[in-house]
Amino acid sequence: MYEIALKMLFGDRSKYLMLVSALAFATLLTTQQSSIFLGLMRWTTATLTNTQIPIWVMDPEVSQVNEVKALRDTDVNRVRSVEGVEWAVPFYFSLQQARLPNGDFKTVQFIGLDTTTLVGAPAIMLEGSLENLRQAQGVIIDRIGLLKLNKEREINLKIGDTFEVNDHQLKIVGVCDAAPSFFGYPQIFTTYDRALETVPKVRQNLSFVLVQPKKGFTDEQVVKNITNETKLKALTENQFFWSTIKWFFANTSIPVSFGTTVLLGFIVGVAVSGQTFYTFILENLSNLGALKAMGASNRLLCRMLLLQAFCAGFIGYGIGMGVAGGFGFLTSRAAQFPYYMPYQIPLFVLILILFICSLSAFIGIRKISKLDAAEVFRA
Amino acid sequence: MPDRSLAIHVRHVNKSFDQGAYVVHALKDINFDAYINELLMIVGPSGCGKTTLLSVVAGTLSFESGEIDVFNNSLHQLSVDAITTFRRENVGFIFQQFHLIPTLNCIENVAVPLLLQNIKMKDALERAGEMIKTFGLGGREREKPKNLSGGQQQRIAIARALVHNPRLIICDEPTSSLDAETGCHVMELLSKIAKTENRCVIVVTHDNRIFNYADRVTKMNDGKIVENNVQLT
Repeated sequence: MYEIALKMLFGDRSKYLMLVSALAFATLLTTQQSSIFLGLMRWTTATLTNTQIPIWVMDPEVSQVNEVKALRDTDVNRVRSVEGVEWAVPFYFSLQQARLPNGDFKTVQFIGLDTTTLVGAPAIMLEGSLENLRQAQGVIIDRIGLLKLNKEREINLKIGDTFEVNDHQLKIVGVCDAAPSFFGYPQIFTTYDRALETVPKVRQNLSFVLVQPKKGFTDEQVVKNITNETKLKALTENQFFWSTIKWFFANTSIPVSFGTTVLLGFIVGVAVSGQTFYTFILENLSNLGALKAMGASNRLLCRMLLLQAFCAGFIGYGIGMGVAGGFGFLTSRAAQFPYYMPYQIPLFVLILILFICSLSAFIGIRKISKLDAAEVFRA
Repeated sequence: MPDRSLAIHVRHVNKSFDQGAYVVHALKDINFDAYINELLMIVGPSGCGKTTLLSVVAGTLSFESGEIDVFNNSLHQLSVDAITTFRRENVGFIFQQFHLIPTLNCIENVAVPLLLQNIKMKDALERAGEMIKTFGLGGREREKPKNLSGGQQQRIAIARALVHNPRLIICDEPTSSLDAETGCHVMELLSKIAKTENRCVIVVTHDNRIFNYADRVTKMNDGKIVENNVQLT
């Protein structure tokens, strides 16, 4: 009888297509919007991803990685003196205006790495070497940033070319692969000392202190020691990641707008598929009544309805997920679009779609359960 | 217990419908018998309770009091699940509106009662195909019901009612959707079916053109049997 149930579903082309379309649309909308949201949230923590440092020390008022309240330069040494600290290095982070050779101005994210160790540099170099940063005026630029700087320019910037920041000439000595930043600005990596030479002079310059704990000390122990001894704020990478995410949740409308779209996808899925499936049941009610009269039990009819609902659900889910995956694949090739789809998203959306199918089937099951087999004799 | 030659034995059956403000007594102390190899016609005006009586005899509708034995199955003593099983195995239905599933082709429609008995699809289709041929519709097995005439659809519906060899055939106004000539063909067919394999055919109708196909006619009015055992042949 399950084959018959599927033929009943596939045979009613208009309802079947409407049902599958609604479920595919709900899948696409919830998957795509969730993935873009996660992509954006990943971008907000790009600095953490690119540096891969276990402990970050900052001003107590800082609550996310893109926000800087400068420390005194002597704070690096204070942190180095804390028990459990293997090493601690300075880290500079600010937004600057770059003047390109054609006279255009572009905002860039300016990052200063410890001059001696270059700790916190991106792991993957695409062109040039990290050591080139030791050359005079040397900076490394991220691949996507370079693409952005070269957009709408007749002659593209490349290794060896120069540009200016704050009237200081800088020379591109390498191109790296780095996670794009939330603000979408090109990321310029240089040494800490050169960064301070380049940017406008202020009394305090140190953005963060990056810390590696000694063997035998956990990150949490060292964080606690630093906080107690220096009165500065110290967070593990994971704590800083979630602190940043929480800040964006609390201070921007991004979660609300994406959440609303995901909710709308869910509501549209429930409404359209529920309504379509209910109409499908109503139109087949006399046939289902005939089946009941011929000896089909309520249990069998319920299983048939569930099979129809879940079959439409899986097909709609497959189509929607395929389109969402294709969208993600194409946009991630360009890498200038925030799209991140970990396995939890397809899993979450599958549960959502199965819930919609169950709800739709439940409405039909209620109708079937109450259907009197004798109804079939009433013309 | 009913006599061995009895197919259906109905005694003191009452059925009412609660309509909220009032109660409709659809069946009032109904008593009648139907015999094996007999085509019994239940006739009467619209709303007299014919279809309700047919429903309780077929086991698709519960009743408040009385006893119904169908081929030695006491419906008044069976559970809901047991009645469903009884219908699946013993009753063939022919409906006024045919109730062929439009998205299935003819052979699949005819195979439904076999599939309900958990017979494999391949075997069910084979038996359904043979049954369709016996009704002169060989070659139309893969057609959708909408592509057949009313008479052909009713023949497919009859094939479906017989494919699992039920002993009781229940027919609700089988000719009301058909023209006179097709209606006569269908009744001839049902009359022949009644005479084969220890079957009993009950036909509910108010179409007086087909009364002469009945072995006996039971007349109903206002929820009561007003004339029983009207012998026509």
